[in-house]
Amino acid sequence: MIVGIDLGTTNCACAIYRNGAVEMIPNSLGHVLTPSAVSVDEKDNVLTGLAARERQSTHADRTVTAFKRYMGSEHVTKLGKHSFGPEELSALMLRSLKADAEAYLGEPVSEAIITVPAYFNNKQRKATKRAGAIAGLTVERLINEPTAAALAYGIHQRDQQSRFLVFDLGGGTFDVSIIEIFDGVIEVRASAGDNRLGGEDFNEVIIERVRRKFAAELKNDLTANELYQRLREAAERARRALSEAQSTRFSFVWKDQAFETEITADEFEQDSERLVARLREPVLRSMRDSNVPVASLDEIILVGGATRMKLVRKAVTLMFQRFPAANINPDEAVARGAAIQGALKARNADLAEVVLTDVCPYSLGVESGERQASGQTLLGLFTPILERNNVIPASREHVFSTMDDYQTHVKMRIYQGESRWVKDNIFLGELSVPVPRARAGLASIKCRLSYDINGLLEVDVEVAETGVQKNLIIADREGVSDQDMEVRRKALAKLKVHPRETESNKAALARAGRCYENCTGDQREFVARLIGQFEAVLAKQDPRECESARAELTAVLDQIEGQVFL
Amino acid sequence: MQQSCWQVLGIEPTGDEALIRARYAAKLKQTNPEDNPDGFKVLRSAYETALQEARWRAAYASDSDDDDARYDDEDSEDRPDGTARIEARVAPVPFAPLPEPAPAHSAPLAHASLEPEPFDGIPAAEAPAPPDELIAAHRAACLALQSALAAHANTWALMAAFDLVIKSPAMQRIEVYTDTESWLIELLHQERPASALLLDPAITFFGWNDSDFLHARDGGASIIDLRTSIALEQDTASFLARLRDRRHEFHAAYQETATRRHERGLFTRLASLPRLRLVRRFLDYVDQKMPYAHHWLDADAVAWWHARRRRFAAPAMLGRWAVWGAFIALCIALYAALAPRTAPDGTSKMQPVLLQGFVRQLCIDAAIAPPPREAANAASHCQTALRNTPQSLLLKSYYGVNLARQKDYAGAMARFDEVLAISPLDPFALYGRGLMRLRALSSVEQSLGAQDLGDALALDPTIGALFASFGLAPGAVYTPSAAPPAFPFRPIPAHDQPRGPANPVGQSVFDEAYAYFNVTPAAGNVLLECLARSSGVFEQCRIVSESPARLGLGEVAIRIAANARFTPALLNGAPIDNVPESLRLSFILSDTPPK
Repeated sequence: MIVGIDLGTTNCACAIYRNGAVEMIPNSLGHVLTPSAVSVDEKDNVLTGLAARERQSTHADRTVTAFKRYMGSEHVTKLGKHSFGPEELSALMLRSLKADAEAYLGEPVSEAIITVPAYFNNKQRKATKRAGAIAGLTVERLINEPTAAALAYGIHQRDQQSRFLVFDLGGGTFDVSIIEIFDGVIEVRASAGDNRLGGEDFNEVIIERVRRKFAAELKNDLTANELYQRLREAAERARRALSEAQSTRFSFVWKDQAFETEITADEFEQDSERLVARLREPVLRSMRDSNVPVASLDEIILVGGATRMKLVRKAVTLMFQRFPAANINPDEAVARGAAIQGALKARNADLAEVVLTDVCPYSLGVESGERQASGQTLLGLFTPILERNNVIPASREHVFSTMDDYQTHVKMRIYQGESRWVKDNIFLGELSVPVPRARAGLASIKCRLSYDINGLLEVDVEVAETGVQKNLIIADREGVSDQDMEVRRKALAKLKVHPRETESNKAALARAGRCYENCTGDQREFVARLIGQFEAVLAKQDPRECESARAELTAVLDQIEGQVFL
Repeated sequence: MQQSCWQVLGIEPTGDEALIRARYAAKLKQTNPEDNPDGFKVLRSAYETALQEARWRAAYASDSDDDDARYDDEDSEDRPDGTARIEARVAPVPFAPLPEPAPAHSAPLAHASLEPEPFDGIPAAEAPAPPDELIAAHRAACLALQSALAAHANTWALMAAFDLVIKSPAMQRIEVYTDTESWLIELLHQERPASALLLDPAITFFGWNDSDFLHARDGGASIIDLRTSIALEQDTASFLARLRDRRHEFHAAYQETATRRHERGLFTRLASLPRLRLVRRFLDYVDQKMPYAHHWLDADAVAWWHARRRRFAAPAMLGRWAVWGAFIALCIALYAALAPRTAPDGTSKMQPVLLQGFVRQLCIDAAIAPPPREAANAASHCQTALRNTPQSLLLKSYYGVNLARQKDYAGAMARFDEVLAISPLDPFALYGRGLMRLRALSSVEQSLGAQDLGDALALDPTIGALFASFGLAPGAVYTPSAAPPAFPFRPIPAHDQPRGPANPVGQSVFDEAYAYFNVTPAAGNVLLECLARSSGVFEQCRIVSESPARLGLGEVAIRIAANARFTPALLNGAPIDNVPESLRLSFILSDTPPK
């Protein structure tokens, strides 16, 4: 069984393809979406999902969200006594998703397809793969999020000819892909994106506005992490409300003082002008690279929770002069696509007539120098060999020649990126070959880059004069040994994780705790009493009684602060 | 063995894209990239080559059709074979006939390439009626910008027209945006001198300077190059202006390389050999910093100097020169030892001959040197030098200068008169005599002096600056500032007379800006950086900082600075061009609101 996992910035989802259809896998709370949050409670138990996210504003220093943004970096998060890298945090999320899938399917799950933003670079992809390995999952394939969404959308029209654009604005990343379907071939024509643009950035806009408004009252605490988390939670709520309403109430409690303000859709739109402008660049780039005119697109598909925002929909409508497709669920499409990819990978008979080809969204090349007419030498230039948006697997060759008289070696430094200068690109690896003694430009070196379907980059260098060949494989696990992985997996397994059965109680309790801090006066006492009652019921450890008490508590909390969102 | 793309796909060469795609799809089912990556790579590259070839075929087929087919296309719906051909031609570019107004928009593009055609050449009736008001408005804005550029409109109107284009609501559409981008690139290139003002805003707006090489290759890079070359040209112009000043370190080297060698006398050429090192440094500097300055240098002269440079650089050559030098020294020593000492006064004749050049140089150096240096000996050096070469007009001129600097005006005038007796149109001597006459007491002499000055300046407008560098000027005598020298050898002062005050009238400018742009009135400060031009205006202003930001104050400040007029700073009596200056403008809210 290969499950498809959408490992998102704000939410994760898991799906499976069986009996000719995709099924979403619910978590222990019965929700399809699991918030990407990890928290460590006072007893050093690890919590994930909704229970962890509810603790965000009350236990800001013991809870972390949006850690996908640090993927591929050395960033370390300290939660209580433990400290985690982004890979470990993702692994914790993957482990809980795996447990959900096993509970739902009734059999062990060891293989998965995980989605990553199309514009994730090699380092970030490797980190994601490692996270899967730490969680005990064999990651069969990393698939690009917009490609997965396209698969989920396109699988139903595989017999038609169509072209469409997937506009994937998630919690933290933004991708655009242009897809073409003909004769059962689903072909990605081009992908482009922005690794640091998503719903979280729109939250920041609201937070900034509120901070400006209450700058005088909060001047001592403006940068406090706890306040920031509380504002972020309220901002998320406000942003969701603004997707439907013209204006919304923004209220929060800080140091027993209630703050309240009104945010209108117009104000929000004005403040996010610069973010909306950034949406255009990847669209332009993908249109340019794919050579597909706007008029020939059959459909615009919006994926990712942030595309629910009215202003994003408006911007898309203005850009393409048409309304985006409304018949797909922006939250589930990616996980569904991943499940379909899993079925393709397993050669499911239903999908025998479908082939998916994807592109490599970034350019790969080597560092080079250039001698200018004036005699100056320009060093540190980037020469792309495998240009972006080539269909993978692909390999390309480029011939270079020596720069200095009688140089003995040539060092090939491999980079990934789009800048003219290697210093702005990402370094992947290097290798050095000896060259025959000759005047500058007389020795030539062939460099071939091959990028395979699993993101494995192979470099072959051959010196034409001597026939010396060298080969370098930039593998997914480069730099991390199997032993090391084993150690990390063991370390993670040792962590006490909250039992799955009581997760919903924990989530309800965490939510009540947050609600308590967000209320004032009588309401606060009322919530305190509710918590006391619920804790008393929990102490009896009677599952049925617990369930009815939880339902009661949830109903009351819903009345106080509105329904919980995912 | 290499297979052709058609063999891989298993079809005959064709221009039919649909067939190629169908074959590719069928083959792909057997060559799944998951199982057979190498097979897939071959198939994929065959597919891409085949598509490309098919497009060429289609394009070639329609081009080689007889011309009337192309003209008939518009109304050939009912031609029996017309439809088939149209389909064949439309197919290669999968661009369905647009319900959208893109064709209407592309009209300015077509006209942009017809530049420089008068504005009348774009009749509104010619374009199909735009189905969309926004597109029509955008197109009008584009045309307005184009005509503003063609008409060399003022900065204000140009910037306003540009703002109108980029802020038009139609720009939100991807297609309009890309069309406008490529149209603008073409326009900026065609209206090159006038479009310099728009380069920076356009580059910022379209993000042409971002680090994406693929995008840059598509055209943005050409605009960056354009901007660089315009900036370099300006830098080069001011560099050359500084070079023409005799006190510049590289002045001599510039003269060596800017004049054709065969136009120079044999002795000048010989005399220039010791300057090899200076010229070498100069050429290196030009290569690295001011490549455009090569346009103003003489290619033959530069080539000659490069040849010299190579010859002297090679170590073997140095050895040979050393041998030659030793041989010549030996000959001179032999001559000195063996020559009969028949001089009547008993001294060797050798000494004055060897000293001659040295004394001569002392005389000239004394004249060129800045005034604090004691010039008393200078006149005697000139006298000595003149004894050796009594005919030298140059030495006489410098003798006159030295005398003048010793305030021996009568003596100086006599020297200049001597020169003028032989060469009556020598601007140097004319100007010198004029200066001396001005210092005479009688008003007749003074008016004659003014006439001399005028004559000299008519012959050579730069002669005044040269004399000013000697510390001799018609009015007050120039004294250099105490500022440390900018160059290691001879100081170049920033100015003799600072720039006059610039008093722009802010209110009217602000009102005008208010009418053009949506400026929010606010109090604040703006720091600008501008070039003060010799024409008495500030140009190329840019905003260094503004507070509060993004209210349009910076824009207004730039326009205020553009409207300001001042008397330019003077150096050697000539206005200085391209002086970078920082301007701070403060905006204060007054009680009367703008009209």
